Amino acid sequence: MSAILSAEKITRSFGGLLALSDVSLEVGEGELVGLIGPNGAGKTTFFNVLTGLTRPDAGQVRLCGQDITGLRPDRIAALGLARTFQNIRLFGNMSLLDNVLVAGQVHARCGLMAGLVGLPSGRREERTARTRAIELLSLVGLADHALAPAGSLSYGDRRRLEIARALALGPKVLLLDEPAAGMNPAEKQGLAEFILGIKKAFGLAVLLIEHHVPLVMGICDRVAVLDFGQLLAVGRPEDIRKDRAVISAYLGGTA
Amino acid sequence: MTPAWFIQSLLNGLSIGSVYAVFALGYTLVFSILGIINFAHGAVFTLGAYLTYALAVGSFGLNGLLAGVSLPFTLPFFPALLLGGFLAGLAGMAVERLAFRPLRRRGADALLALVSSLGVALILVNLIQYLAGAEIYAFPADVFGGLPPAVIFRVAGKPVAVRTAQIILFAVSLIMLAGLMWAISRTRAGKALRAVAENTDTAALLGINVNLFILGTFFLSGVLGGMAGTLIGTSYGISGPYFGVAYGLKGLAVIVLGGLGSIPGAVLGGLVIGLGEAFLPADMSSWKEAVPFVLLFAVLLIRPQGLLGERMEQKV
Amino acid sequence: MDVFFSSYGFLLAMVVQQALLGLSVYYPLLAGQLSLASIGFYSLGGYVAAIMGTHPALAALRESLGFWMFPLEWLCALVLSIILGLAVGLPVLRLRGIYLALATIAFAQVVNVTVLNMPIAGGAVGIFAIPQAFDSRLAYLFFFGPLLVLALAVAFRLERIGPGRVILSIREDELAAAAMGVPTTYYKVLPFVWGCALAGVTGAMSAPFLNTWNARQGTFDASVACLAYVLIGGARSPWGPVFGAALLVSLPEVLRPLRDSRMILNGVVLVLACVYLPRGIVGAFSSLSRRMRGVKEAAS
Repeated sequence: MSAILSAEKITRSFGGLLALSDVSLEVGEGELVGLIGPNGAGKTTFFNVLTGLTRPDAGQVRLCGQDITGLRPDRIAALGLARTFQNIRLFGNMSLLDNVLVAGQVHARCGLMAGLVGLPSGRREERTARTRAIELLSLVGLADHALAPAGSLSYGDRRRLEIARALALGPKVLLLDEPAAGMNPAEKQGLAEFILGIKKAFGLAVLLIEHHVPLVMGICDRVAVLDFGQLLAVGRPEDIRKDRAVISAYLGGTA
Repeated sequence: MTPAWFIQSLLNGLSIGSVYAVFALGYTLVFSILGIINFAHGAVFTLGAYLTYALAVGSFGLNGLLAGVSLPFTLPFFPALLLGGFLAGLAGMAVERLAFRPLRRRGADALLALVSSLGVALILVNLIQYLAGAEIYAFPADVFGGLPPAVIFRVAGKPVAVRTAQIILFAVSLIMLAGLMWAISRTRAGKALRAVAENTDTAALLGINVNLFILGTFFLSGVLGGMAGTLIGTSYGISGPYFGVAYGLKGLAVIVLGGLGSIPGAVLGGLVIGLGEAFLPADMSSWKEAVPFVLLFAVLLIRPQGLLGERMEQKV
Repeated sequence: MDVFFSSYGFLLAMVVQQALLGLSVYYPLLAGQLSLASIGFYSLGGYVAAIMGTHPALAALRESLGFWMFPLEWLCALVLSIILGLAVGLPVLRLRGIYLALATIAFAQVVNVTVLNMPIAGGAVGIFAIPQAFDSRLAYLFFFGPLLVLALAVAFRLERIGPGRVILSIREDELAAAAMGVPTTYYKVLPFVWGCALAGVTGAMSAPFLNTWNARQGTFDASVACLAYVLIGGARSPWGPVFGAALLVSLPEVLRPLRDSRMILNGVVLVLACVYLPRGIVGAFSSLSRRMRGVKEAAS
């Protein structure tokens, strides 16, 4: 299996506090990898390093074999690495449609002038972009509210809109940061199926941060465990469940 | 560059720089609590200078509504300075009540506070013009009582002159800076102040009356601004109601240079800008007004958090 | 009617001119960038036009170009503004929030001191007897009017096209925008430079309009006024700066009978507007009309 996204020996500290220490992880094509670990284990920092929001002190990130370490976040996103945020970061005053269209803009070929003057090529592109955005919104079941401001959505709908927005980038790899936070068990089950669905439909590799262990164990091909910035273990869910270090550090009584 | 010129520039720079520091601390205190720049600070600076002038001299010039009116009493300089500072502190509280609190209660955009504080500044400045006229006010030569106007000594054969006003500027500023540093690091109120600056909500949960503290901070900020205005007014004269605008902007350069919200930063920034102006060669003196802003620009490009500011990590 | 235009023509042209300056602040605000540099570009643009209009060395050029000298002045101001806008914008737009505002204030101050030190700009006295384009002040609407239409059209058009949405997304959440593939620096510099260019050309048109040009055109007060137009008028609609300028420019005229105390009232209006119209005049109107519609629907 060839790795589409690989992180090699990522290290990052904040003012003396080691947030990530020598973390290496690969995500294969079409693979769904879960990333678990207690609060403050460095999961989100790891995402930030992957997406270029935080520079690593050492280590290398590769996407499809290309070194993307230190690239600007927008370049990384345009190369096919999309993400959602733990504390949902939508463009609250903009409509659902516009939220998705902003991410879709990376595919635009017509310049500002074509748009301002209203050239036919620009108009055609705008129409195509809108159609695609509406498709994505219907995929997450939000097409009926396309023109409502994103800030007016319920919590669960915001999470879904954030995923639709990330998909508009046309990514190769999707990073989901606690997408099930604040959902009830039934919603979590629905989300699990949804993630498997989009993974298949878009041929995506997915890296998923999640606290809810059963969800992760249930759908992931492999699971990685982070604790205090250290990678404790990576492996198939059934192996992780048996791993002593993981049990003592994290799963504790629940395993 | 003679030794005498060097010593003279150094003394000039330290003296004016220390007042810049006092003035800029007024910005810093408010910024550290509210995260907002109080653009009425320059107007309070002006007001302080006028109030002290009125208290020390007792008359109001020739052009304003108060022309010809004279106070039944006058105060010696230092009591007038203190009382003028106190009254400027009250004006600072008024600024908070008029321009900041109503917006805070409505959760309004922080940009609006910028405009509303400028609105209050416009009110204050034009009120001064209405009452005291647009003319220049110069403190009389004997404002410090019997003190000689200047001290002159020689360095390597060349004379160096330090005006009494400059010495008083420096001394009063140092006392105020030391007092403020002490109050913030040692007193209960100072600790509470730092708690509010750290996190307003947590401070409120700890039982601190946040609104009262904000009001107190504005008072202190007003005192600093008003006394700085007086000090500069005594040394250079009060050039009219718009006297404070240029210093208000210079104060902004000081706090950015030192690092927004940093108290030692404001002091360092004040001294750097004061010295920068003082050491400007004489044939470039017409560029003096650009010095603070060129320094500000350079610092922002090289070290955006300022000389002593902490680098802010953005939270994701 | 004639009387109206002769006495209020200047005011009307002034409103449009100031609305243009308001829009030059409005554009960078679309990307969430508070810039107070506009007034510096306005001042520079004015100096370009004033120098080109009066300098003896250019007499022959003026002679041969006639009225076309004015568009040439605008063009020069435009080019200068764009170059300088890029030079200032690229380093400064890395900064966030209030830092950008402070850096742009500093820029405007440096411009002011610089022109005062340039012999060609006439020192503190400035440049006077700048050749007029028209006999009446009102006629300058032929200059300012089309520029305002253009500036408004671009602003409205931006709301409907991809690059415009991208600019707005930066105001909403710069970090999320970057993570969604938006090259944020480019899309912050774009509206900033467009604002600079607008201010520069407005300045070039204003030098003949005002007849004299000096460093007082570029004061801090003036740059605050530009910001006030936007915030009082409404920062979420291109009409905002227009309404804001109309109110704040005409206010001192309306209050003229109050003479000396009118500037005090000006300040009072500014404060009241901030407190009671936090979303500006346009914002207040749109929420009012929404409420009215709600009432109608409830009734029917």
